Amino acid sequence: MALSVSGQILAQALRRSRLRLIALAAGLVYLLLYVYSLGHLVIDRNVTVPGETPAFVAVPDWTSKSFERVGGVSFEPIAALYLAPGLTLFIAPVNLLIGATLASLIALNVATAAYALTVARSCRRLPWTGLLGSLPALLTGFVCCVPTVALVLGANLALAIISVQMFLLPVSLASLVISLGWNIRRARKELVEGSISLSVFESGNVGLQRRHGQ
Amino acid sequence: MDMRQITRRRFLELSVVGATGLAATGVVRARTAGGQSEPTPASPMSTKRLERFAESIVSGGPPKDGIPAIDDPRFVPAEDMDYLLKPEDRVFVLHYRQEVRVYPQLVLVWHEIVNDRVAGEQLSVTYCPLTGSAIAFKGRAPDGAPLTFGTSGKLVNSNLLMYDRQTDSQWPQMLGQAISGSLGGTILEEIPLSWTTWERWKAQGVSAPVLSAQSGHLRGYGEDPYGAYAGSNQGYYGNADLIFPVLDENDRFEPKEVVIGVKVGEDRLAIPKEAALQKDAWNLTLANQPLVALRDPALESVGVFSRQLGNQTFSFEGRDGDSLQDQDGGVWHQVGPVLEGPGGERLPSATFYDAMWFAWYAFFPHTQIA
Repeated sequence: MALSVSGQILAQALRRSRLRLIALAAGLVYLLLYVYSLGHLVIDRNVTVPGETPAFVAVPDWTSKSFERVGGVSFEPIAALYLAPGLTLFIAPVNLLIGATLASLIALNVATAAYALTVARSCRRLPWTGLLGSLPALLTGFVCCVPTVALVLGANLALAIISVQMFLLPVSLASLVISLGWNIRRARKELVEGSISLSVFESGNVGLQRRHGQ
Repeated sequence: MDMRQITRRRFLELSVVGATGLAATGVVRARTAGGQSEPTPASPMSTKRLERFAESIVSGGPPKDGIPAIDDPRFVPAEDMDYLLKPEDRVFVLHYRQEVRVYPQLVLVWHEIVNDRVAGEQLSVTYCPLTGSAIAFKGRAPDGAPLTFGTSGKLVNSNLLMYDRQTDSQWPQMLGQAISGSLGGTILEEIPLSWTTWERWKAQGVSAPVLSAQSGHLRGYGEDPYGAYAGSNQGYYGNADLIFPVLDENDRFEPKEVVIGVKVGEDRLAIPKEAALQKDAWNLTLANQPLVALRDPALESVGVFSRQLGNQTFSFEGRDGDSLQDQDGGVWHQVGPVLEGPGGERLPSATFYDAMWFAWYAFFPHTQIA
């Protein structure tokens, strides 16, 4: 039943167009940040290709290269999209899959957090801290460019990141799942404590029917 | 057109380098034959010192082959690389037997190793951005079997730790000697590379093949994740900070000041590159081996050559900036990787390469300094 209720809360959160838009935007922004952190989204006019842009280039042995690891949890790009002068997107399918998973979790976290707020009986702060769990994943790609990290964060932190690089993605995934569970639990609690009939809720009539006038 | 352009072209067009080992500096023993004398090659280090290096291996971040070597290099005419290379970008020039090849730093920084075949021989051109060292190695095991190399993802003294694909032995690039594996203790034959800029190289007017960015991999060719060798924002190359630990440190020079590291027998010599560029010729002696550090004004690079021919030792000084003059008034020219005298005598290059001072000292703390 808990899973069913969780699913309904997720559905309810995503049914609201405004929340859906915010969640989608958050997910997209995160996906772009993730791809950028891997060095797969490059904004640099020096990175170019012979001839005109846009241009698409793929490696011939893309099936085997797709699973070649080049960093902590970073995989070999098998194609490049030279979108415009100075804007290049490298495509590594495994990384896109990981990025999409993380971005989806971010989107659901944002949607459920905002939903929990809307059903709260009193004004409360949004639980944005749950999204901090997404940050370690942004460091998974940085290990391929240690000097860059060292310049920004210092050599000691760069070395520390290298030593824990394999744990960064699992930590992010676990944090986001836990945070999502927490948000759903919070929304559910608010609904119950707000005297919304859980039976009504579970029956699918989930229009936030508070019993006002009590 | 200056004399050096003429001589370089002569080297290419007439294939004047016919004798064996002109560029190959790691020959087993010094010898005098056919009017040339080769410097004593670098001697292998003791097992105890190799063990110290092996114990200091650290992860550089990427996994084994995470920085992929180029195994099927493609070469193109210089004009086909103009879309990528700016005038100030660095290139490494290899002279080997009758062949000349150019390896752009902006391609090598993403791969660090190119397993190439030059003049019919297995040659690996390597570059470590963290130590600013570019060295070509003859890929040949003691039994004559060819060796090709990959990146281990690990570092020793911040320097690229290569492994060979045939035995998985590990080789720090600047050491040129295996520190572990079945080839442990084996030393590789080194071939010097000249550092210059794309602009200076093209001004030579030499038609030599240039390593293409069609490497079989997709990378941000054109950018350098470590920084830049020119301009105001040089990143890693322009500051004194090290990222990875080193075994020995010395503040005689700034950590990343470039020195020309010379290996003769068990002796090592560091020649500050900036100082060498101020002189036409710098007569030196290392391990009783007379050497001359020679500035190439066209390429703004420094080479190190023997100045001994049989029992005769030469002392050089600059002459009109284009050539050298020995103590008897004989005029010498640099012809690719050799010095050619008035009677066609040839003096080969020593074992040397450009490197950052901190890394040279970390590997060779007993080094002499010019």
